[in-house]
Amino acid sequence: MDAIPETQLAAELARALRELLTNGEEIHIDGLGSFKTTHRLSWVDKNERGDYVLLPPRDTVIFTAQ
Amino acid sequence: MQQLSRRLGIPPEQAQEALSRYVSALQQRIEEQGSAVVPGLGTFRRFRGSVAFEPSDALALAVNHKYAGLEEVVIESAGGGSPTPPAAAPEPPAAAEDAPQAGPPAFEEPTPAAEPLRPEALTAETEPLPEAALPPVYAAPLPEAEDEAPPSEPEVSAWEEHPVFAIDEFGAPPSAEAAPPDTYAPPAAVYATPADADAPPPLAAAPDEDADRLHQEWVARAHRHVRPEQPARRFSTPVMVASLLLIAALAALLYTYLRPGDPLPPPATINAPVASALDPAAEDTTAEVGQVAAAETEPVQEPDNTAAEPPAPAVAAQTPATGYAIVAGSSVDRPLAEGDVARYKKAGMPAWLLQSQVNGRTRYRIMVGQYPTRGEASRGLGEYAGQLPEGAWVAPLEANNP
Repeated sequence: MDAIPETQLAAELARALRELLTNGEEIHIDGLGSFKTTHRLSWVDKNERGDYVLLPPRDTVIFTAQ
Repeated sequence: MQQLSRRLGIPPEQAQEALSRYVSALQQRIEEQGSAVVPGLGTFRRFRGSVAFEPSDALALAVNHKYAGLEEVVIESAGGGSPTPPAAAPEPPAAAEDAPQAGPPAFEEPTPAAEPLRPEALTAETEPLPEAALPPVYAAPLPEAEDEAPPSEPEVSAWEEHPVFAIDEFGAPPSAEAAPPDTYAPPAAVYATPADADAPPPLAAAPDEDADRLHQEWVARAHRHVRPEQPARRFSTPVMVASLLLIAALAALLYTYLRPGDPLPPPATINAPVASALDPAAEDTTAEVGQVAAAETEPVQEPDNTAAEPPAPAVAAQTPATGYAIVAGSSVDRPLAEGDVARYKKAGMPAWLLQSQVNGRTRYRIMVGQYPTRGEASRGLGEYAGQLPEGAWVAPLEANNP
């Protein structure tokens, strides 16, 4: 266990979380919080030039601190 | 936890312990430095007494792989040149000199539920919008990522062969200046984390095969959700043929059922005796019918039917004026009633026709048999139960109704 460096643990943790979140799962890490994905529908926004633009929908990561 | 232990090659208990220690160190770093970066995952920051998380570009792109490549679409330019301005716009768009042309029609939301336009959301959550000539959405961070990528030849075809990521699908066609081929990068560089470049192990250092595998998975998943333009689906030929055959079969069945003179279906006058049996007032009506029928002294028989069917007059001659009979049906249509009588006769039942006046209208009752008592009539009704309609009932004739 001591042989696992922190960098390797962080990298593997990031990959595992990324894979689970990509699959739409919710992950809870004790002491830190929960990660989950949510979908945001497309919406209308106004850019710097004043144009009304329709922004595409997207899936985002939601983190809830413990 | 199972995934982490499997990835690390250690038992879950050890993985749990290592993760707990790492989380504790992370919390301590957040408390001391205000933020902590987890390479490939994102940045944790202390925010209003809690911890906020900002996902890295790699994680954001991985999660948003379904909609990767979708660009914003100008639906109304600042100059007011758009043909379809938003109906609920809170304020008129400001004039600008460099307003671009309106983009193509807004792309369709891949999800079934379409969110209404929310002009009120035009303020706080506005993200920095790219310039007009910017390459596709996810191409912006690529120049930084390319610095970390190996100087190999970019896999341009890997992106261009998938229409999901075609940059000209929803927006303006890319020009050579706007989206040069060098803008595209191999997946390993795309999923790199330029924001976490200062972290000890950047994700770009991950094995290329892992990034390639993720890329392939994402492309496959995106293909299932986001499809290029497809023609509207129509009914296939087998479905059409099956539907036509079904309609033809139903039509044939209806024709067979409703064909006049068919001995199989029940008579069309079945409702009349049923209604009479259910309606208490119908009993009085029946008494009237019996009296009126007695006044006419004998049931009605068509001369043509008498000539065509020898048993008919015999039955008519035997028609009693007293006793009980089975009422198999009633109709105001005489030919229809006669047809029912003929059909019952063919079936071997002593059927006959009785004309009566009910509420000023002439009705033709299809009677079966003659019985001196109600009990015998009921037994006769049971005897012919299989051939008579369910609404058949026993009615007294005139002499029993003084």
